[in-house]
Amino acid sequence: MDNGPCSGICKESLDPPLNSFLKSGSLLSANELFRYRKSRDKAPPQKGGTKDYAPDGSWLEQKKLESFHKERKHVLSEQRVEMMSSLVIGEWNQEKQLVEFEREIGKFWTHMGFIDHNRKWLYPEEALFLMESGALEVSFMGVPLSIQQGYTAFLSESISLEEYQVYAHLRRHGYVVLRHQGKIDITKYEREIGLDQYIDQKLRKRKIVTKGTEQISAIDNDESNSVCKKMRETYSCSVTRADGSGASATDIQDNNNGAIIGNSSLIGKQPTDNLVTKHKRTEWHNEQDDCFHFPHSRWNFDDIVFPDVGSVQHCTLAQPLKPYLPVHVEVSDFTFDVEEYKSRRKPNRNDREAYVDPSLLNFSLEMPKHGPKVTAQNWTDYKDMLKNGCLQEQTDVVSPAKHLWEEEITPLVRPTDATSTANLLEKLQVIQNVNLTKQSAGHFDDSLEISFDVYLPDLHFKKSSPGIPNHRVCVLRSCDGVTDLKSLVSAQSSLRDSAPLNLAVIDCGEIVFYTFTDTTLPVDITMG
Amino acid sequence: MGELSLHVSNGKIFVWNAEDAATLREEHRIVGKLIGCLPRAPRQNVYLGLPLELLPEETSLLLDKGVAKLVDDSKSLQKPYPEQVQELERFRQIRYEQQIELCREARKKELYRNFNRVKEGKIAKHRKQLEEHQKAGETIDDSDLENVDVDIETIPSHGIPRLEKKHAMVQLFTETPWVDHSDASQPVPWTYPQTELEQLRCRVFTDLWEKGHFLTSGSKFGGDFLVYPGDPARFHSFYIARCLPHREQFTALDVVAMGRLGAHVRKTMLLCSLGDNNQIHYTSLQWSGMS
Repeated sequence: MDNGPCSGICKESLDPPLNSFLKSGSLLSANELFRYRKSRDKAPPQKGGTKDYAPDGSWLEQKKLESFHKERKHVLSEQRVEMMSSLVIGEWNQEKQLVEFEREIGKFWTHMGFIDHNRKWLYPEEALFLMESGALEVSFMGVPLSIQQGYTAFLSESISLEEYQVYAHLRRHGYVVLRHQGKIDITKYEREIGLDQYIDQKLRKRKIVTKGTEQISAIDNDESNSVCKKMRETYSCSVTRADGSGASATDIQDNNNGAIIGNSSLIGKQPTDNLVTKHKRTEWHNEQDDCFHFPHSRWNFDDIVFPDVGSVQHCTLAQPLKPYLPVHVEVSDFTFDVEEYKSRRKPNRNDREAYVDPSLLNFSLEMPKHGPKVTAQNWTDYKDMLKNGCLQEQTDVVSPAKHLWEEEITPLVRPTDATSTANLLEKLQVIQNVNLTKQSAGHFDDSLEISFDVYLPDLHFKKSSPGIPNHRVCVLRSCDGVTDLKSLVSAQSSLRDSAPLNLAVIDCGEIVFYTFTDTTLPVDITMG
Repeated sequence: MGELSLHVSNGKIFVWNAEDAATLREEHRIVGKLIGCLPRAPRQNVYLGLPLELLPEETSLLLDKGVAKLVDDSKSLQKPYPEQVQELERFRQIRYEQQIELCREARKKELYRNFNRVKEGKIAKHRKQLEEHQKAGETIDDSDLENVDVDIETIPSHGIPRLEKKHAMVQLFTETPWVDHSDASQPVPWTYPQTELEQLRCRVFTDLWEKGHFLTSGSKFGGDFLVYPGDPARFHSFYIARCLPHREQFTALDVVAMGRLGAHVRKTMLLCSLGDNNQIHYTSLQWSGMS
């Protein structure tokens, strides 16, 4: 590294005893720094081009090699030089494994970082990426960190080198990459009708996801007493106010301590909480309503089929099969006349409540004469019965193949099933297809650790409500075993949305992405 | 020249110095993989920058040959001496003051360069003033109009604004600028290779390297290493090396898979194993199309 010819004004020698701590090799001179004020060559060097087959020791080949080496050395030894005013200054917090900063410069705040207690924080991978891009300077114990120190400090506990490499790779491509937020509680249906904008913002505040470490939990233990105390105070205050009784405060506290701890588990947080999220929960508990507030509906609207009443003239529901219903219940074909409904949509407020069209009431007030031969008690039973097809046992169908049903192993189809080829084929399908996007049996399998949610770059991206990601990434090393299909399917389907899961396999810097997608084999229906 | 420094950080080996990375490639045929953002173009994935990450086999080789030594990077995060903090602050302050001077000089040079235009502008202005006076009725000597001149010294040099601290350029260190004061007598432990497979990989790597090849990670092609006849920048690899235990059985299906893979990418599959006589056996697999 040449120090460059210095003008008479610029003294290169520094006051002694400098250079006892700083290495002189990598320090740029003022001249070199000054050269960076003007626009510099920002083109990445050429990569690729035709290669030769085998080395032949020729002079031309030697020349090409030399020029490649020279260019590479020149490009790699360039330093990062920035103007002080365009640098964000941050501070590394070793216990929390986060970088704190005060003033943001540039546009990174729209898709990176979070606020907690009016302090701005960055995750270590975000901070390291900003450092490598020349936008951030992080100091630790009074001294700014070099990128080398950043790699050592930031990639030790919270995130591994492999995960950081995948993160940086995706970021360099331009994606917005966030830590995996878990299942998104807003269903597709709610998103379609625009309900997600009205859901309480506080509930959907971005979860701060850090991996639990001993250090953090140690601090939690110290703080958790004060957290519990604060929760106790707010709860006890509310109780005495409501009661107005003279019950002693200590009694209430003791009684309610258990209750509060129980409540906090109801919210359904995962055990790897850290200090920051615990504080947030106390804020929620300050409002009395929120003590028992559950997240909004967990119905899976993908499975519930609503008839589309708005776009048809008449809406018809299929009649339930009479033999399955209790005896004294009669139903007729239900047809809903949309036009008629629309025309009388706004009756008088009083009238609406009192008005019952007797012709719509369709049940018999007679008691059954013989003992009730109730079969299905409720809709669940009805559906079960339908599935098991136990109707056949009640009918006295004489069939030449009756002996087939007397053994343990019965045929899959019955003559009555032959309504259409599709119906028949469906009954024959013993092996169920795996569907990655349909929900799993319900239990959450976290054997596959998903690292990141990846979003497409978007002007309207909001950190507080990022929405469904474009895809999710799980980082694996090539020396790890191959994941089995079961954990893949359950990881994907337990998230209950359409974002695919990409596996990033990384081996000493080489990253390859794999994904598993649904296929349905075509069913060939040639007749019927 | 002294040994190169390989930095151990969270179990991985990095080279942070561009000179060292160049030496490793040019003199010692060790390629490694660049994994950082390139300073001049950080938002692209085609050409990455320092650090250079080394395979554990590459590290073992370099340590065995005595070319490099290991440095533990976790020590660099210890609390700095107060003199260290002061030294850096003083360094930055000196650079800032030097930049003030450079800035002023550059501005002056710019003025000198544009002096002709400035002069013309001032003369024109002066002339206009005189003409206005003439119109107003004053008698002006015509010779005055010709002799307008502007002296360079009259341009006030204190009019050039002083460079503010926030506009100073500052170097963000990629490689740690601090001198390594760690104890040289306490070597950093290096525990690779451990398992039999790792030992095999290490042996194969060393053996192929000693034969004069360049080797890189082979996971892109489903193997352990890629073997190049020359620098990977100029040549394609000839072999995909795959390390297998000598006595382990594999099925014909594996053979077909490996053969097909090699054929599709125009490389020879090289199966490497450690024989009973502690010699490495190389078996090549090439799909010969019989038609």
